[in-house]
Amino acid sequence: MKRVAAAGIATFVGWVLLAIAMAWKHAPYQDADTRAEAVTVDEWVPVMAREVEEQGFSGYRLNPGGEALVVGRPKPFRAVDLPRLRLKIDHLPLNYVLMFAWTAKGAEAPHFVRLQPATGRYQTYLLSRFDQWQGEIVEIALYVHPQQQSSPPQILEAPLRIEELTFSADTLSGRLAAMITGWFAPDPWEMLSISSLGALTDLEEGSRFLPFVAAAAAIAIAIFGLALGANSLRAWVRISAPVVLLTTLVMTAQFLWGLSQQQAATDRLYQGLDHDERQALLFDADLVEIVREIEPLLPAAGTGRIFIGADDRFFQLRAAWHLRPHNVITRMPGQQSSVPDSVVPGDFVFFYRRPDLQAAGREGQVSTGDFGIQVEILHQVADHAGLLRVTGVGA
Amino acid sequence: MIASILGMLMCTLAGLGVTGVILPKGSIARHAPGMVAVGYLLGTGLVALLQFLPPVFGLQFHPWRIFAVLGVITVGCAVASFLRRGSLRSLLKVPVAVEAREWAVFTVLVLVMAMVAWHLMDEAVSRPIFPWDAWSAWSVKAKVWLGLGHYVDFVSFNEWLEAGDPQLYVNEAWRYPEGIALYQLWLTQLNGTWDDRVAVLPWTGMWIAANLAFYHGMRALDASRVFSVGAGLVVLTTPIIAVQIALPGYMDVWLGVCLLSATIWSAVFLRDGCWRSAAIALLVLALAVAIKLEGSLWAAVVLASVGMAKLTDRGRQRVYVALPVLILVWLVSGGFSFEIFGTPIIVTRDLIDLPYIGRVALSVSNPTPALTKAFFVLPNWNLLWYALPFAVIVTLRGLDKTPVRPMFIAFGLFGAGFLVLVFYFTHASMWVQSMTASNRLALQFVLPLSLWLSVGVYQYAYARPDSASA
Repeated sequence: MKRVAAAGIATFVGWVLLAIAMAWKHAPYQDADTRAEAVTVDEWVPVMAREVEEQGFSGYRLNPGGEALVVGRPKPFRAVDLPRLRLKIDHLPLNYVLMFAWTAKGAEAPHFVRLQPATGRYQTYLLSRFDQWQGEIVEIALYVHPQQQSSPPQILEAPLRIEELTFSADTLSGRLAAMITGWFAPDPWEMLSISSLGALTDLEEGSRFLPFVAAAAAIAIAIFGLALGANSLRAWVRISAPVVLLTTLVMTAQFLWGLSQQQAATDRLYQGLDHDERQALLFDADLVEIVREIEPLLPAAGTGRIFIGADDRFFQLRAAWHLRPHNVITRMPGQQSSVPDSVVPGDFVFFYRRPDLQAAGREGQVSTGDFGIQVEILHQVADHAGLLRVTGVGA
Repeated sequence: MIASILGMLMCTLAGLGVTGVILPKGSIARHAPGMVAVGYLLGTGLVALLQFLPPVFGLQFHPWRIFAVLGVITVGCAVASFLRRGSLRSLLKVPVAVEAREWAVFTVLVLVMAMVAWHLMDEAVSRPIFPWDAWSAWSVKAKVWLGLGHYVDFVSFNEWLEAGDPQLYVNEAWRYPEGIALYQLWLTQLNGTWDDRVAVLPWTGMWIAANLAFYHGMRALDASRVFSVGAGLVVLTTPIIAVQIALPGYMDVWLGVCLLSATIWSAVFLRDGCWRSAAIALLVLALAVAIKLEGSLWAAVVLASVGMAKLTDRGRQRVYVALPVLILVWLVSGGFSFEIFGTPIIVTRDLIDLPYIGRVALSVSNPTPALTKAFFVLPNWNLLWYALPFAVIVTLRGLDKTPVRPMFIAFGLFGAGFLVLVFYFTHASMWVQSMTASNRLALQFVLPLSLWLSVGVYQYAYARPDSASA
């Protein structure tokens, strides 16, 4: 037990020493005014993406794929003085990223950077890691943007709610505060992919948690080993094992804390609901609803074929999943095939977020390259989704 | 839901029964955790077989009949085990004399594991299927078969377009092995309708099986209880593994646990000369092949490692010299290609095309920065990759000079070689760059590898008297 206690103390000392050393090492810029007053932006103008496309962001057009934009015009400040961005937003929808944009005085165009905030807690980003963070900042904007693999749910009809956004100086105390808020309250995953966890941006302070812990564990092992007079590899290994175990237990506790928070949020959303009710709460619930609407129009599963056209790969696959057990193919007739398409009268085309297919359906003819089919509309939803039946083939 | 949970329990019991019959007399108490783990795996395989075989002979099996067959297998195997071993006491005897303090630490660590399992399961069964590949690839076949009430074949896009047959289906993952899909099908059949919560249940069971297998492996190779459960905690709570259980649907943990079990039982075979253990290892490897395409490659790695362990020292040296020479010859000569019964076998500098594995285009790239970020910067693996080089050094010094040692070394070298080939010399490097492949492929390898490293560290630091220190 003495050995475990000593390992624990050494681990703690190692963490503290390294935290201070790291905070000290990343000293603020030399030409920055570390006493500069922090700037908090609390007046936001909600602007939807369509308006941005028409009017632009201070005259410049933002990424047209962006949605739910809010623009803020803070009191102008020097970028070099206030590089730390502290942010808390109320909710980031599943599979979305948050984009941060800014315009410097006299700049020709705004700059963009992708943030990776957890929802409902403070996070800090060191914008000085971004080369374009310079000049006098006069305007900023935030908007959520779908991941490459996903697309917007109806939640984007509402603007973001920003609970706090503050620019502050890069100071030693600020670094330590950022470490604490960033490192000791991580989400268990980022809701982007389960193939790799953690923030994908280097801007976020605290994103280097793992190297920090490794270095701290190494320091702890060194302190512990020297204190006990370890003089053989075997002794060092015996000292390392409890330190690694204790460090892992701390990291596991940290992960479990995030997991339990996530679990509570998941329970709040889905608890007590059956399968169908849970589907109605999915981020692509509108797609689920459309599939339910067209279901009576489809032949019995396994007796007909359905082609799927959607505006991106993600929705093609999601539509296929919701349409199963029907016999579906996640592509349009004539699309990317090395063999002539065997689309025949009686096949179906389900389309989603494709106004062009709706218009083509109304004209009774769909063309993909030099491939043409005659169709009739069986069902349509709004101006972008519905079901077509193939009535003939040939341009 | 309750019917599905009963189904999982029944198939685990049947698998456990089969394992008990295969194992030699008197080894049940010693191998109990590993038997439950293998029982879970083999039970899954049994269900897949019972789902797969009847339609081949034109029969359609009702899910409750499969349940009944599993019950018969369980009872039959229990009776056979009992008759072979003579008494119930010999089946359950646990020869232990453990200090109270060791029990206390052991109990705390087990409680931590139980808490983790509860959190993971609760998250898993609370939300609809989340991961991309789960709903776009792995669970599709089960959902279709359940909805149709019968099996249909899945083919490639081109075949689908050419055939024009409404009973022929297409899917992104039409080539993927169907072992777990058949298991998911059975559980959802027992449930009556498709429910995501039921379809993902097997993953929680898999995490528990992983813990039992790891603990058994450590104990079978003479590690202490506390070290065994502590090492399991370090490895199996790494975020990338835990998240695959909390957001279930991928097969990497399944494959990793199959490899873990196969290497443990292979080690028992090598150390004790018990062919029955080898039979269990082979059954588990067969399941690995039925789970994922890479399963066959990993099975080859395990079998080659066991083969290396059976060679003499000189024989092993010759193989280790011959392999780089063969690779050099392959690179210089451009490789070879031929056909067996119309099946192409191509191993050239640009392309590998092998039966079952498929076509893999070769090209050189350097994904080291992405790998470094995935393993050492992002919070995927806790300290696992930092500890790895030290653990390898210690293990090479510490692992007993039994036939297990050359098996571990061969497994490490072949497995690492396989990953280097995939990451640096195939188009999979693109997925490494986008961090979709590196962690998942590494996960399959890390589970067995970390067991061996843990055993090596234990044997070096704790299992020998101080006079044996380096």
